[in-house]
Amino acid sequence: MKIIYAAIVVSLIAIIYSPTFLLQPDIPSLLSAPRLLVVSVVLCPVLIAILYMLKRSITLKDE
Amino acid sequence: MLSLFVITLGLAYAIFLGVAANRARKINAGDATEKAFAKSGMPTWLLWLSFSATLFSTFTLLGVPNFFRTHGVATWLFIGVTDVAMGFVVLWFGLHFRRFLRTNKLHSLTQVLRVRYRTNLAYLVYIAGIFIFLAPYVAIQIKGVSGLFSVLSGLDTWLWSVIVLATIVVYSWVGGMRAIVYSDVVQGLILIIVIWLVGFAVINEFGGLTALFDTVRAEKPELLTAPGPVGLMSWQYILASFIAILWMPATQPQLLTRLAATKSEREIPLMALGISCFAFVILLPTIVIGLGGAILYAGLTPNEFFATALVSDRAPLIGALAIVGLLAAAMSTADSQLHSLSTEIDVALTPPGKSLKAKRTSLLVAVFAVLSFAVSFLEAREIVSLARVSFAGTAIIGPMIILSVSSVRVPSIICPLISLAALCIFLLSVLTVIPNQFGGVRLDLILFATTGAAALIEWGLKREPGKAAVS
Repeated sequence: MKIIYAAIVVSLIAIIYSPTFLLQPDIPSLLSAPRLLVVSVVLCPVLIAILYMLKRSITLKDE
Repeated sequence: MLSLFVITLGLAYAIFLGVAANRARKINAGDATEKAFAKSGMPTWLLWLSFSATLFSTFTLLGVPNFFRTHGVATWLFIGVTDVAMGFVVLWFGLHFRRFLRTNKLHSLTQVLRVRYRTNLAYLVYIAGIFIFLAPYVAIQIKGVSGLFSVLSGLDTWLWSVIVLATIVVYSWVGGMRAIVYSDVVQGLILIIVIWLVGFAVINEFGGLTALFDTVRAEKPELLTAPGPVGLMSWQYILASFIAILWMPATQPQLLTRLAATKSEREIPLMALGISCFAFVILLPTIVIGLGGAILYAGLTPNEFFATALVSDRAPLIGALAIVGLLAAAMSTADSQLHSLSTEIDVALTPPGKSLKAKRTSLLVAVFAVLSFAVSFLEAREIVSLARVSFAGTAIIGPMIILSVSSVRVPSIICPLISLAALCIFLLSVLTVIPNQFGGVRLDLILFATTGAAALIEWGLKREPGKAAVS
């Protein structure tokens, strides 16, 4: 399960940091903000949600 | 009215610092290890807020809005996505690091590197790296606050720099780790309140978010695209910054000490989640402060922009909160760095198996303080760019550190050697002795790839089995 979460995170990060994404002509989207900003801001809660699921999937033994 | 609020809030903050330092001194009870590491443990929520407050300093309230104002929306990729993603590194690295500390009864990274590599070179490279590359980070705290206070008060920048630096040095020496954590928490809360209040005020001035973006699109459309008006936010710059900032929890001692101070590794996942949430919440308003500032305060210098956007154009109470919050932010980050640096040097100077003796590093820390002071004056780069030099410099030794806690076998001396060479090369490029690009590729990217590949190969190599847990 952890590997799946890791793969999703790496894929999302790779897409958003790819030159293709960064260099495409920008289209206004939500609240007249550019797509570059909207997508990258929305990505953050998505990452937090994945981190939360990852946290729940980790079982740590008592020390 | 503003002066009255500043004096009242400033006094309240000073009293709080005195009480916090006194309480910490009583708990430390003369125990150097307790003072250095808070080894008896601290509540998770305190460490989470402290980690976040140390991470988000004057850099956040001054540097990031100005970066949006100058370089546009790609700044969010540079700092927002990266800081939220940092939670994954805190989780993964934090668990490994904390477990290694517990199983080997260690307290700091210097001890881990000494035990793991079985050579002095690894921890000496680490100490050298943080000694050189934390200086720009401390410098931005001094530079940011003294520049703003100079504009507001009319006094010279150097005078404010001396006052700020002296306060930081004294506080970090008096109370130790515990006192610093207490001050961090207050600073973090002030910063988050101020940044949201200022953010809402800027949105109100435009009559809404849509109107703000419409105005920017009409007047400065280049701010809404990558690589921005100056062309800085290129793909390579953003990627290199992502790597540099992502490694921070593993490479910057002021963050490592907070991971080490957790009561157990069970608390690390919660801290990781909290740090990502804090990053998102505190950075979000910087978008509107910066982009709005590009329109409202177009012709102003960075210091004038800070003074106007955060203080002069705000209600007196918000302005006063911003001033005290910025001083607190500068203090909390810089005193954490000074404390962590002196602790790591103390540990390095203490022979293995001997009790930690504090205050052996006064001269070195004084040299570091003077170095930071000099950088804050001599370096003309803007705050964020200066911070990035610090992040990139320490990130170069990241793979060596991560290898030390993740490898089940004893690593060889190769990784420390390559990290040392990479550090020297990067330093030469910062000093403009050599170019910062080779074959069209950024030098920091090349160095990250080299040290990362060395660690990866080392990690995969079948070597003589060592002991993952050395007691």
